[in-house]
Amino acid sequence: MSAYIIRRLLYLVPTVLGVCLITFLLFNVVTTGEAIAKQRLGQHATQEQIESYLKTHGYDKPLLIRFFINLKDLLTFNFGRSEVTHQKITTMLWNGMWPSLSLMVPAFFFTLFVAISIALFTALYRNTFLDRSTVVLCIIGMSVPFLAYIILGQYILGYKLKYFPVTGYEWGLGVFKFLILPGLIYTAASLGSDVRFYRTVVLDEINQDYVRTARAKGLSPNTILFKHILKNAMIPIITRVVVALPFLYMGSLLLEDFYGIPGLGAMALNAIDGNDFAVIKAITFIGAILYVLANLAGDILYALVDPRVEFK
Amino acid sequence: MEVLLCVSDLATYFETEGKTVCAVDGVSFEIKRGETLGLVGESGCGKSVTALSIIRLIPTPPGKIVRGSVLFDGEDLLKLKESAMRRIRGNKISIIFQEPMTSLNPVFRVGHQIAEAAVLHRKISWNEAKELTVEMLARVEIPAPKERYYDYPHQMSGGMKQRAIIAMALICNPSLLIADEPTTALDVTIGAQILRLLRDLQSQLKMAILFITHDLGVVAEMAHRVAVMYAGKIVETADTLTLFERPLHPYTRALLASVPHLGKKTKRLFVIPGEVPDPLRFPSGCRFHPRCSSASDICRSRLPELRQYEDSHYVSCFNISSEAKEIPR
Repeated sequence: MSAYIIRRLLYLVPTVLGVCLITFLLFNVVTTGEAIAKQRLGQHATQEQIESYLKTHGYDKPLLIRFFINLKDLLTFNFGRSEVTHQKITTMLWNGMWPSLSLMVPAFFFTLFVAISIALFTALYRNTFLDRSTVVLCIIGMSVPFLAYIILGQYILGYKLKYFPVTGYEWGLGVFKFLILPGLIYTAASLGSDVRFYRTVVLDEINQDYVRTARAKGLSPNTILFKHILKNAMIPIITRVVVALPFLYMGSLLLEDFYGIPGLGAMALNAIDGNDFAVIKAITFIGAILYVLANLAGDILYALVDPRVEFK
Repeated sequence: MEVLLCVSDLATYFETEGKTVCAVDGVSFEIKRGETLGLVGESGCGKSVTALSIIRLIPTPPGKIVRGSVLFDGEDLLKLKESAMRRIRGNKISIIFQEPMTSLNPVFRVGHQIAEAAVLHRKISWNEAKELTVEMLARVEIPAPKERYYDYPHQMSGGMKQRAIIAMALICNPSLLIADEPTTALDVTIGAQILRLLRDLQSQLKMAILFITHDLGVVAEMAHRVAVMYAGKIVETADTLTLFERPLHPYTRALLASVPHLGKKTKRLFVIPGEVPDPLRFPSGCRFHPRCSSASDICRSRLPELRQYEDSHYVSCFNISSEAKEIPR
């Protein structure tokens, strides 16, 4: 097991280098220094202004040198300062992370729990009226745009019925009342596709031969579903969860923007709006690294769930 | 000998897209305690559906047992509640399937899966069940059973898995084992070992076996009595020796004629002409008549019933040659 983890950790080295390279190419070759400078300084910037921007941001050095400086900065999490607020970017990321996590982590795991429960339930009653109507509801749920959930939720539950504050955030435990509504909106919007996915996963397993063996053994439908089927279904479930994990840290662009939550999602949106290239670069890099780490976590979880995954 | 299982007029239909498939259509047979009944027939003739109907594992929908009774120890299994049926499955009646490669759950240890049945039915602790499992693994001749208890299915070969599945089926000492083509997926030598093992275990445990196969050689080796099934019906049943020496039904005769014989020079093996009928559109009258060389008018219009010839020799055919005398009821 530990050998498997170590081997898997070694794979991180080339992957992270690749992430650094792509981030570098995005901000140095795909978009050139000149383009960034013009974007920052406006169309009427003089040649001198542009040149001094390029110099202060290190764009005057040769590409290869720039790559290594960039590599060092990324790997030491030295992202510099925001070009708009002039705050240290690491501080901004740290401060933005908590609101994002406090919104997304409970909402995500609550949704996961509810979706898997409904999926198992519908699988148990497959091909009945209950199952079919759930599927129809799921498709309706999936067809409504995310924005509609946000605006309707805010308007009806927040503004009209006044169950929740319409928008806002505070540090400390009082934050709870601000997070319930966006959290529920997240659940409502994700439930349709999640239930459909997990239902398919469970139905795939239900027709396997080992289920027939378990029934022939005299096991009850509950034991078969929650023990034999669920453990097999964990593999696709892990895959889906792992892919979603990095987005918990990054927050939700729309939810944070609409509900006034000062998380990383809102920060990313502001950075894009304000041509804050240093912040965009930092968020791109962190997002990619988290993705890599989540995949690592997924691979380790696979090995824990499925004995067929080789430890060697 | 006392009758253990009495199936009468069992019929299982499948509804698909408004059409009805009569997979099993009025099947009757008996199995006595400790006896092996071989159920033979071509693929798709309803053997497996019969087996699944007996322990009520027919996927419903689309399948449905539409009539008949399955008396086991005097109790009609088809009338039992599902919860009562669960207490019989894996306990008094066990079933083993054709596909040892996929029949075990890949993410649980083999030993755990076997012990699970014992914990469920015998109401014993996991520790006791583990001891019992190791004992069973030794009984099905798996070497190093203590270590093998902790194996996952993918660490076992096909033959080994089938042994483990047999151990699982027999751990509660069932009085009936349904073996649905248990050796078909295995290579011949391993299959022969499994057959010998089943025979040994049967004499030790005194259980009855319903042995389903399409292989007449296997039947000759395993069964005390044989029932031949064709298109959802039993066409002939007799004790094994009688069936092989004096087959009466044209289908049984044709089946036996298409078995190659060692040492006999044959240019071309006999083949039954035609195909197994589509269960959506069974032919009128006797279902075998389109492929039968001695079919007459009556065969096309009327469905023959099982009639008794000799002692325990039942045949459903209108054209039994005159030397066989029907025993009137």
